Amino acid sequence: MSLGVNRRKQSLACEAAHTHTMDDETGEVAFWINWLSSRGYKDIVPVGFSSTGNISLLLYNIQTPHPSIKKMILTSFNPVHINQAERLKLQTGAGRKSHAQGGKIARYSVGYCKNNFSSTLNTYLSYSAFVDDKILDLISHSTVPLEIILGSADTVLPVNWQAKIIARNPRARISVVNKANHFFEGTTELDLADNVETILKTISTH
Amino acid sequence: MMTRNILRLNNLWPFTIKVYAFIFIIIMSLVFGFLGWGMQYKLENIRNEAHIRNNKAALDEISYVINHIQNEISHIGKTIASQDETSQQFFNPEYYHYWRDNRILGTATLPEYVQAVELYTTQGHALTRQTIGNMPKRLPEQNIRNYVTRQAGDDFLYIFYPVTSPQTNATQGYIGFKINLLGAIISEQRFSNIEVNTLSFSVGEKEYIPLEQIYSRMKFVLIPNAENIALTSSIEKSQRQILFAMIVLYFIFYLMLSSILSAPLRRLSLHIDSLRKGQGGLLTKSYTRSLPLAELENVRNSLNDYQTKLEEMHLSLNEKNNELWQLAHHDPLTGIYNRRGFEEGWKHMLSVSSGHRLGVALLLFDCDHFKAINDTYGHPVGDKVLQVITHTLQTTLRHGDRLYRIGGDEFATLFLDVDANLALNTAERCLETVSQYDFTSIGILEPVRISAGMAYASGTNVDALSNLPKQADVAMYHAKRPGKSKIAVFDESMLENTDILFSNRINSLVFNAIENDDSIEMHYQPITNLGTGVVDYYEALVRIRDGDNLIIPSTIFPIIAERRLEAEFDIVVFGKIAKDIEMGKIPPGKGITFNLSGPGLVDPFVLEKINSLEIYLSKYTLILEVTETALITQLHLASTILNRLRLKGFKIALDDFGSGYSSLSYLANMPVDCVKFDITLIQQLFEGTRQSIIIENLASMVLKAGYDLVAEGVETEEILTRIKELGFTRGQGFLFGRPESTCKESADLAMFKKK
Repeated sequence: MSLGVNRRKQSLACEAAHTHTMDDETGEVAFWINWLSSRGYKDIVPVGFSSTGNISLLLYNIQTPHPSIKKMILTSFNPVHINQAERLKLQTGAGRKSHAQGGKIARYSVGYCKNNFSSTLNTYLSYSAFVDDKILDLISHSTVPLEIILGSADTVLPVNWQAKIIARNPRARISVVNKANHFFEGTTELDLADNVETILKTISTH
Repeated sequence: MMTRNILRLNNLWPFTIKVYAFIFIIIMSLVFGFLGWGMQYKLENIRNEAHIRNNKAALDEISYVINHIQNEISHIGKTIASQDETSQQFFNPEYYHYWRDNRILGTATLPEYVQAVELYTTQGHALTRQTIGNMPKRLPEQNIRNYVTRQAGDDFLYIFYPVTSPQTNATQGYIGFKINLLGAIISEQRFSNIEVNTLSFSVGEKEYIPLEQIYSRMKFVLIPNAENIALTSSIEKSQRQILFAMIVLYFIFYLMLSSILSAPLRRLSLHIDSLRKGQGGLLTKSYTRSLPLAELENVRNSLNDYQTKLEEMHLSLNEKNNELWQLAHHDPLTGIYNRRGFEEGWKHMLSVSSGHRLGVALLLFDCDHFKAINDTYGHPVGDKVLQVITHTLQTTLRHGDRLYRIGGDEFATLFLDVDANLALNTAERCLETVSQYDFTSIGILEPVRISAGMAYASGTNVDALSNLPKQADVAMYHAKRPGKSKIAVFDESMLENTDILFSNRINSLVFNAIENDDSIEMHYQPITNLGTGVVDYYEALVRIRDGDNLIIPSTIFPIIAERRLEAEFDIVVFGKIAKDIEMGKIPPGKGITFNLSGPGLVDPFVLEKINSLEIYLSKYTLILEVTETALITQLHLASTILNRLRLKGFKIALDDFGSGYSSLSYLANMPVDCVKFDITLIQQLFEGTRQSIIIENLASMVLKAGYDLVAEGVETEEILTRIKELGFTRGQGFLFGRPESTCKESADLAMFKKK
């Protein structure tokens, strides 16, 4: 995702000005799926990472399902950590009005960015809307098989998260890479790659 | 001026040790001063070199810092430029202020000295109209990307870098930094060469100085070089220490020179000066204090040795002087004072008595006929006579009276503070004592007598005092005269007869006559036979010619006697008579009588001369006239000699009989052929007194004894008649003829004319 940065090749720091929204991400997913499809690719398996990446895939799939998408691989799939009190306050009129004035950049708490997520209010609200239940809903409403790869050492995963996923989408397959953290660092990156390759080989078998 | 200085320098020469020490100290001070100046000069050069080096080091240091700042800012600029967020600002500067203020300036990634950052488009326009920190709205000219300017009293460095696209590497724009230059320099470096608080840049407001030119605008004060300071301090400290040490050394050197060399030398010099000023008396103490220098100690020892030797020599010299004085002032034969001693004693007497009421008497003693004694008995006996006389006089004189031997047989003594009578008594006692001495004990058969001449004066009469020696001589002359008292006290009347004695001209003529007989003339007075009236003999009488004048015997003989020249004069006279004989001045067949002095009688040369006349005895009767005084003095010897002469044919006449002792007993023993009565006896014949009777009988006795009898002083016919009556054989006097240079016949007297 460009995250609103032209030709972005670096990760965007929490303190960098975040002006993009979840809709902008869903639009970018659609752009690339369409671009692949226009290039003749019939079996497309998008791979998502972490909360906002996986959410933008799930949301795109639900909003505008594309026939070439045969599966979706969701790695390190986890909910977006949001300060609910902050979200609720900003959703009210008074708070919303003060923060949104002039597209002002303010600091919020989103995911890893604790109190330093610098973004416009719209950006914050577009991401903070995806609480746990809403994400699980996206899982349950998926139109394609979901391959979920998690790390056994991923500490950001909520308790009983796999069970909650299976409970909302029993078809979803969950693979756990042993000793892998949230970012699959080290040799677990190869395990991740093996898992993805294995999943991709199953496409023809479907 | 220069001459005066040279003279002043000459007065100082030779220099004292202190002056040399002073000169040495001045030279050393000059050398030290020169070395110190040289060291200071070197030190100043080192300081200057160090300053230049430090200044360069300081510039290098600043240059390094500025380069470091440039590099650091360059690195930061590249980092910022490489960020997606930065590139994003050129595409969409909507959140540029957020990016600048929060993502660049708000983070801790920039150094504190960076005060502002701005992005510029490729055209040089700032991305925002609201630049901060006086960052320019537009970039400066292309060739002035980095410059320094002054704002509100502070100096700021502006640096601009291009921002390139990571994908295309094309320039997207520029990033500029505003840097507090002084703050950056101070914060970036701990300077070791610069007092950083003094660093400043002389840049004006709105003046833009390219960074590379900023070095010429810098002002700073160097940190004093610790090594230089330490070196300088160390050198100066060393100089002070050396100066102090040199002053101390100078002081010690001066003290050493003074105490070790100068003071001992001065003491030695004073000691030597003391020796020199001792005026003959050496110091009793030698220089005993030891000296601190071996060389000086050697000098001191040598000096002491020298002093000891000098003292010994001085003592020896004193002894020699005393001995010499004794020799110079004493007569070796008799041991009494000599003439030199007399002269000193006389001067002393003059100095003591002059102007005082002190009577001074000068006594002269003279041995009678001493030359005859000497010639007869020999010098050893003569010496014994002198010793006897000396001893006798000494024992007779008062204790303390000095006796002087002032001539061969002349003695003198001086009496101070005596009256004339006491002096005269002493003189008489001396004569008496000598006359009583038994001279036969030393082999002399004749009586030895001395004569005395005395002069007396009071000290108040200075002229008389100074004339005492001459007066005593005159008195002695009188005492020596035949028939006179053996003691004579000077009185003024004596000068009448003796002035001639002291006439230098007469003396000179007499001496010349002895040397050369040309001035001698013999005059012949006839001695007439009273029986025939014919001249039997001529008495040869000597004269000395002085121009037109003739000097007669009464003038000549006192000088001859005084000078003891009787023998020499006799020889000359006899020679002259011989010449007259040879010249035929004397008629052959006549007799010639001539006087033989007392000393001549016993003189071998005179006798030899007499013997040479023996050849004339065949033509002339030669008669030697001797005085009774001459005979009596040395009767034995005289008798022997005269007898020998008589045997050869010479006749002997006793001259001037009656003027002396006229001893009949002596006369009886005298080997004479003829007796000549002195004029005094002849004159007494007419006095009608007892004396005339005695003389008449004396004449009779002489005649009866067989002697020829000659009367002297026949000046009148009355006398002639008288002596003829008395039987005198011959007569001599003016009546018959005066002495003439030629032999003349006797006067033609009526008494002798043939009837």
